[in-house]
Amino acid sequence: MNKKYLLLIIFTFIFAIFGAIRFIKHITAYTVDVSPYVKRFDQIKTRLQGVEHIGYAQPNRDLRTFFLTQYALAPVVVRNNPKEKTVIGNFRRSRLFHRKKYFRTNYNILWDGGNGVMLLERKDPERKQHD
Amino acid sequence: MINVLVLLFSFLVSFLTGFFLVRAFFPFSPGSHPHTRVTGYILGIGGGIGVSSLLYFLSLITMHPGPVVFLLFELIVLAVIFGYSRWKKSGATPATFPAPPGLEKDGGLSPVLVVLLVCSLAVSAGGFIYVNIRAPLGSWDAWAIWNLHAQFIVPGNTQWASLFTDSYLFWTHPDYPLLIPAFVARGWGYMGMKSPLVPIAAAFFFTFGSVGLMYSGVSLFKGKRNGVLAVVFLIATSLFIVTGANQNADAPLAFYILSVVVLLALHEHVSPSHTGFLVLAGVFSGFAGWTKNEGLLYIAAFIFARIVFLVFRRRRLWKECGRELLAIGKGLLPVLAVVIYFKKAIAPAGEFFQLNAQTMEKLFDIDRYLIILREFFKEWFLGTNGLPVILILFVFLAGRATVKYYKKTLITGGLILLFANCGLMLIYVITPYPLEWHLLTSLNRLVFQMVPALIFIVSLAANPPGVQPNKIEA
Repeated sequence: MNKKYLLLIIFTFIFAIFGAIRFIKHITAYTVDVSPYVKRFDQIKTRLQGVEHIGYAQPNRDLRTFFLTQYALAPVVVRNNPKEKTVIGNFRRSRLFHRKKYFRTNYNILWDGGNGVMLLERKDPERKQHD
Repeated sequence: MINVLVLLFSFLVSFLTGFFLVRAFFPFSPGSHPHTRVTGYILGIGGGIGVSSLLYFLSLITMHPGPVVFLLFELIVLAVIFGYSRWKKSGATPATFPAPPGLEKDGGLSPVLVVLLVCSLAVSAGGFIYVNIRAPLGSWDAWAIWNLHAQFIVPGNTQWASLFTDSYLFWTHPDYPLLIPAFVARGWGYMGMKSPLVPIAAAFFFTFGSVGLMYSGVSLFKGKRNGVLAVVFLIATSLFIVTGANQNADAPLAFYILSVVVLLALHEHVSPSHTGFLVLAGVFSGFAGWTKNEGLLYIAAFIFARIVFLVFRRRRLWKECGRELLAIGKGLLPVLAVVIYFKKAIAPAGEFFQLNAQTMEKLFDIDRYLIILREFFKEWFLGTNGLPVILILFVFLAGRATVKYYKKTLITGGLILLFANCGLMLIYVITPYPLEWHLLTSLNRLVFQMVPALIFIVSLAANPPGVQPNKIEA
């Protein structure tokens, strides 16, 4: 093995070790399992057979939870609009619905999954009619 | 269990379709050198995924059939492609890969290289399995875009068009092409359930298929030592395995770009009259365009690079240019026609390429160019763990006696990457998103798409360290 080849192997080893360390650090820090979150919607999915689209309401502006809700309920289109006639309510816990005046005042609970996922009907008499 | 067997059968149908398609233009046989056969098989699987995906999309927009009818359709197409490949093969002579002058014998792998290879593969395979056991639904882009699109176009959903028409879904980029979603939806249709196995299997192939294609492709021309080194460089480049394991579409795109460059190299170093490899390069560049929007940029970069290269050659200029472009077009146009139809008739308009006063202002803003250049430089050198540096060292230490011999592939491949980088920079210049945010959230994956092709090209430039490659018969 000549000197240049030996040097090349050494540099390759260093590169590989550095790459392996960075790789292992990345996968242990950034691999996030969303399947438990998606599983929360299993029960409500059976109640949405034949539904083409539905509204969505949550007590914060977290887009990630909305996107995950869409993934969980696809191919039903989840419209990020709390003024639809029927909406998916997404709370960390079901009792938060009762604690938030906005939701108590504006929605009836059609179905409560007990895990923060609910099917809600808007009380507003001038509620938006979807086509 | 039955579901898994059905899924495996569907993969077999897809593989056979791709295998016979590749074999129609890349004449190898059971007696060919192992590196030739492995290259053909891997290209066959990648090609099969592309063809299956296209067939699924075409059936979606025409009949929207159930799995049984779709299977019949696929088997008919398989039979036609099989017949075509038999007809093409009769009379075709096997491809020959002459060794560069002065370099004759392929040396074996030293124990050091074997250990390096085995450890790299073990860490990468282990990491891939870990990521997919821990997060079977993949990363953000996987569940927010690719697998979400698959959920809409799955068999049985008569409202699939709402993905492309309902304005409440525009956040999921429904203008993105459908290679991965269509292939995943096809698998789910056959299985009768939306199992994470399908997208994981696709991710596994495109990640380790790139590794395998790198090894066999480089080894064909430069011997096993360069093949192993190229594989180690690829695996050790930051986030290559991670991006593949995360079920993004960047790994498939990287695979198809690498395939185009490998096929270009095969074309240059087999008889010049054999245009089959160019036809396949056209097909695989089309698949790149069917995978992600950036793939369309790579198609343009590929054709432009080839024209620029040919224009600067001296002999029989226009005739050769025309012949080559005809061959590329023969492979590219059928795939591109589907992509264009999808873009024009199905998908909503994308967020880029809206010419307005703001866009014109951005085009003349020098600061934007400087920021983009700086970030590209950082990502290429730091984001890849310093890959360009190790590649320069590779060529310097191994020697570059064969650069002249592989000049054609080096120039065309280099031009493709150069034009692609320029195109991507331009996209960042006119992006409607905040520039820093857009660079931060996407640049690493865009650079990653080009890494396998770059490693392949540089591996052709470097001598095999202390090795003389075989004269390879296909």
